[in-house]
Amino acid sequence: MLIFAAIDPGNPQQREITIDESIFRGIANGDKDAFCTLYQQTRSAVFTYALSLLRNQTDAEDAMQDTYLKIRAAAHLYRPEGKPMAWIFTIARNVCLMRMRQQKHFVAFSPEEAQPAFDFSQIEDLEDRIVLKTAFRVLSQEECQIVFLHAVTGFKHREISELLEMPLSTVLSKYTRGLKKLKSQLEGSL
Amino acid sequence: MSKFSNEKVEDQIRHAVSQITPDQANELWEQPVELASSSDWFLDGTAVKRRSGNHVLKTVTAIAACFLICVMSFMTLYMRADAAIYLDVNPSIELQINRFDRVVSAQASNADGQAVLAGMNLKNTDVDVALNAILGSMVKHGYLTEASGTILVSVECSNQKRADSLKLEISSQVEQEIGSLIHTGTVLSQEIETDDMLEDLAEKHQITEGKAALIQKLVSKYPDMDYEYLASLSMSELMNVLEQEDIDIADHLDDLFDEDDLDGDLETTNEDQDDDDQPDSDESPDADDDLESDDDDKQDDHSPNDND
Repeated sequence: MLIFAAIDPGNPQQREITIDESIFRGIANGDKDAFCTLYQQTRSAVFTYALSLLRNQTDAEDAMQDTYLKIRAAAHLYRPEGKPMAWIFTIARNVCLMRMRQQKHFVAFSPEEAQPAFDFSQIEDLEDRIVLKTAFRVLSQEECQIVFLHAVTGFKHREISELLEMPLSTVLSKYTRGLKKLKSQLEGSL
Repeated sequence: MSKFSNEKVEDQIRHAVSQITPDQANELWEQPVELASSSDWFLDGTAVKRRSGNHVLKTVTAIAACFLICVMSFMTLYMRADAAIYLDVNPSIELQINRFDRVVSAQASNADGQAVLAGMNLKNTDVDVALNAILGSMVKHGYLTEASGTILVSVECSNQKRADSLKLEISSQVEQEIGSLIHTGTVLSQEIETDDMLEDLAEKHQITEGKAALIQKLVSKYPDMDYEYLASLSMSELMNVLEQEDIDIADHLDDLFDEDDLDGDLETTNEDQDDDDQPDSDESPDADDDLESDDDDKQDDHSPNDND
């Protein structure tokens, strides 16, 4: 059953991939291939979301790992409603929020206060590295989520609005503002 | 022209993130997991399969016990307005909305507004739907045209954060709607705080408190201007008059509003002007007191609406 689209992270053309909801039944029944398929289809979206929420690479990696373990644990409880990504994102959000509470992070903070921790050495291209650093420095948390999800996963604004439970106009507005802010900063840096 | 198009910036973000995205499917599969139950914290907000047997009965009983208490509170919240949105073109319309962004009431301040609202039952509709209907009706009745496409959006809410958010959301939506309806238009937006004087002025001149507040600010700054005359003009006509008097709202905004004046900060969103937006260094997009133009960047390859 066709439901939602996720992105192949290695495909620069952002080819859409559909998630078959029966994959959760497979995972619940111990089908490793089903899990690996779901993981490959959704890992870029989940990591991007965790990264934009936590603004810390190590924490985002841990949160992503935890999210998929929880998906495995709860796959038998998944109820097909045509929104598998919403289900996954809800788990990811709860995992990230719990991590933040445990580490006494605050959900909303200004870019000036944020101290993101990243190992940018993994990023080969210097310009790409600067773009990512600048994005975390100047974008608010919500702008980061929206711009990153749009860039990395190819989700449409309407889909992002549903996933983040934000009004579409807010998503559009923050997306436009965020990109303008980012481009303006990059003009001065590069 | 900027060497950074939206598409290029997004490509670079995607390339960067893809290089740091973990790929650990096999390792994750090898880790033991304990089967979750539907009440686990990480499933909050998800739709899960119902458990069978006594658990369901107990849950239903507990929900029923709380239901009667909750329903009255909810109805009270639902029916209570917590924000007002004023729309002025020449028709003047006021929407009262609740905290769930549902319309509690829709009222016209003048006959043109009544004509726009005629036949509509907007009560309990989502504010997005109501705005869509109102703007469509304004276009249909000839109040919003390519030649006369200026609309004033005023927001009033005691919660400053919600007022800021509403102003941005509503003005963004209005901008999009009139853009698709008449392919042009100017959206002015402001936050206001009403008082008895504004209410009296609004009622007397058959305009909303939003327009009344704007004209009050103009008349305070330029005492030679006649309040009644300005109130009789449509928003497009008002903008033309100001232009003829060499009054640029953007230039005079600092004089019109005190730095600490949270009652109003006027923003212009003009679809026909070139983009001259300055970078925002502050977290909140509404923190600026100065007038700003926030326009579609025609030079961008990637429009926000391309994928919708």
